[in-house]
Amino acid sequence: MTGRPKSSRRRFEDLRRGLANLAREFRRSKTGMTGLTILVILTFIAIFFPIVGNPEAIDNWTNLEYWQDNPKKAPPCWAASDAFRTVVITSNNTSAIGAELVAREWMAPDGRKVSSFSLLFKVEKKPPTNINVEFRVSYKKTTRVLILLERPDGQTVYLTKDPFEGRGTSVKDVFGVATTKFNGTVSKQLSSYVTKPKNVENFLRPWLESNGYKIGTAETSVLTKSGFDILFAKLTPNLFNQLEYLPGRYNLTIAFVSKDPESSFEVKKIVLVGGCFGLAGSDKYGRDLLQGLLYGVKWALIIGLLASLASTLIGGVYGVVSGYAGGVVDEVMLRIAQVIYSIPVLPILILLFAIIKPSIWILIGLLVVFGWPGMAIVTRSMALQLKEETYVEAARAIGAGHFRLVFLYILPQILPYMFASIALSVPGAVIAEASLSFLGLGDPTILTWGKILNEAQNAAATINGYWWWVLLPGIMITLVGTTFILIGQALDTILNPRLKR
Amino acid sequence: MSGVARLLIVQTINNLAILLIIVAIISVIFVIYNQQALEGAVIEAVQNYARMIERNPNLTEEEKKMLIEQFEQNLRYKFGLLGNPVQKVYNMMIRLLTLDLGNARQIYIGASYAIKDQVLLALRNTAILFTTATIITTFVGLFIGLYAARRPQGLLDRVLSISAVFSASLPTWWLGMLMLLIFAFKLGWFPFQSKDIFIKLSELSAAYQVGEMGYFTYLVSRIYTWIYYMFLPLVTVVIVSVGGWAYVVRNIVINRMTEDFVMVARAKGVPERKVLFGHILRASSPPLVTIIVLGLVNSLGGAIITETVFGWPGMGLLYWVALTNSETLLLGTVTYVTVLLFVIAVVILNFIYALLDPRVRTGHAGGIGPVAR
Repeated sequence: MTGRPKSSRRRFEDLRRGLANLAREFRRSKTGMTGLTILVILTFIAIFFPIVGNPEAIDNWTNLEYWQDNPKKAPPCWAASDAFRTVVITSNNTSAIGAELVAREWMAPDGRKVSSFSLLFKVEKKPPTNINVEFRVSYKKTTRVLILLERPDGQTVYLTKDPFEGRGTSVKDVFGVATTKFNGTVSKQLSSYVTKPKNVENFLRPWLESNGYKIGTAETSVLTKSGFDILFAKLTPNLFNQLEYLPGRYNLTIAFVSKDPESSFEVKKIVLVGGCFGLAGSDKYGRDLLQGLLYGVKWALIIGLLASLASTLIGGVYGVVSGYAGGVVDEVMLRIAQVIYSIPVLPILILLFAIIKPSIWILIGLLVVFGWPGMAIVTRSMALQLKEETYVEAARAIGAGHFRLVFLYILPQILPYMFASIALSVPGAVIAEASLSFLGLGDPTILTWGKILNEAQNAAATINGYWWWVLLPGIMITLVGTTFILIGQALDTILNPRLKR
Repeated sequence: MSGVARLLIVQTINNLAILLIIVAIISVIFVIYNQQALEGAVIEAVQNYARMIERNPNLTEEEKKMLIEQFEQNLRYKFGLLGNPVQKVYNMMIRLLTLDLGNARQIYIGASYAIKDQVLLALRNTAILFTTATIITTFVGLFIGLYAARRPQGLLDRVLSISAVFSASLPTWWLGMLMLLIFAFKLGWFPFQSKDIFIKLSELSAAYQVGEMGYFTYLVSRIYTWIYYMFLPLVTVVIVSVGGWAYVVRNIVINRMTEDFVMVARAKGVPERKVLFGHILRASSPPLVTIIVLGLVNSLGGAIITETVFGWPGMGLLYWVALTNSETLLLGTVTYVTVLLFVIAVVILNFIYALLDPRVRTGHAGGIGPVAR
């Protein structure tokens, strides 16, 4: 220290040089740069989510109809190599990899018009988990439906009665619309159709009995649960205990038989719902978890950065003012900070959000309200030392005011430590939000990782083994936390060289 | 009065003041909530009543108005909506402090409807889990931290700093879910829910008392039951807290190692192990106690949510059931007791701190700075 008062420009010059030094040392720190790199990637994902991700998915997150064709509770495809891959057939795209649609129309001898749709698909290891069909239909006279499945072992399973013999199954029985006249779109999920108790009794049971199985109440209850899977099973003696799938070519035929020669039927969409989904799997509504994971980055960064930035700044200034003021003012200010510091935040937040409507901004505000004293206590003790330094005394001697001393002479010295503190307190805020959301106390209008985990917990994901639904959101939370801890630790090590040894 | 006693009294009063402030906050939240909820109920009841007497042809308009007003006043009186809000907050505080809180709507834990009994039982169970976890964490962390500090940048030190990073950034309850997926779902070694532990234990002791099993079998199966139900929650809490704690130990110890008395001890030829445990650890113990308090209280929040994941029948589970059943009073009580637990832990550790720090004993220092969180 020269003892010569420095001009404020020189002070800023010092600060600038100090920060430049900090940056130079930071660039040399391996952990710090790792953290910074991940942070840049995360920020990129957050800002460019409309390009990286699919904003439409987030807009429709609570619109469950949007997700109905996706496999439900499906693991990611990289982890389920034997699962059936989803195939979508539409009117303009009748053949896809592994499946092909053949449409035919003819007049039956009795004058009825037959519109038949045959879907040929190949099962390698596991069959589809569901088949969703959607038709555009128009007819003005009684119409019946025929659904049958031809299996690779030569068996044919009738899922309706045969309309060419006897009364047949009406459109109403399958699609729930009027049998004699309808114009519009009809749709059905085959697995829920097949496993309906009435249909199990009428179609699955006779088929299995004709193959020599005895169907009692136990078997019936298995059929109402997994009747759809049994359509694709090898007919082994212990079919009901251990299900083995039958690979090969299947042919699903859906035919409309109408007395109206003017009737028209066309496929709008047929989805062979697979057993795996995307890169991050799906939840119980078939929602694409990958989109949730990517979108969550934005809110995690907002919550973490806003809460830690605000509480560090407020706490930093508060502490410096307290330490600089000294005496009774310092004593009172310190006591206040200590009292707030001693309040266990999470229980209070849980209680509060159980009573008021949770909001993300209120949460961030409260995290700041309870979060600033930690920094304040540290900066206060730093300010106590700094205000005795000769350069501060010199500045005071030439008449620098209190404001000037605090903000231009003391605070800049503490600034680097505040950077470290900002980084180190981000994970706490992110985890606090995730914990509240996990308890179902998150902002209902916002999709966060904690909320995805809450839904996983409610769907008993741990008991049912939906590991992707638990693992991936938690990894994201940990990743964000780790990123900031790495940066903070690097800064900390630079500022406290003794730790390096 | 000696320095220690004065310091302890000051600290205890401080902590009690903090407790009172928190109880006041909880009470204010409650009074406002009740006021709003009941106000809504009163308005609805008065509207119903008005519709009812509207049909009565024997009453004049004046009489109807008077009846409705009277009805409303009665309801407000009955629901306790009248009176001074400050008085109400005060009453609520007294009720919380004395745990005089009446009954919950259901029995969630134990065998009594009383909120007090349920919360105290949960508190006991949480204390069992949490104290065990803290003791294990403290000793394992001390051990790892000391050895990592001996060789900075060594293998153990590197592993430790990595685990410290994860320690601070992963939610305890999430690790709990992963543990369940691995050890309960995949391997089937441990149960999904620990709720039954105390039922199983009392069944065991009943069987023993009837004489169905010998003492040895009883003892073994008792220990087995404890481990079977407690292992996963315990290990989860320990794994998450031990990394950060050991890292702090390492940092404090490294700072101490540069001091002169250590060099003197080494120069005198004191064995390294004795330097480490006798000199360095002894000198580092006051700040370490502070950190234990901070860490303890910090991790309790996460540990509570972890309990809900494992179904451990403690405060965390009560939090969960109180939330899902909208038992607001129960929720408030659980919050209060959790805070109480913090404060008690802090008071006890302050006492230990005073015993450890020679400066405190001679009355030269200010005690634990930032007390607790």
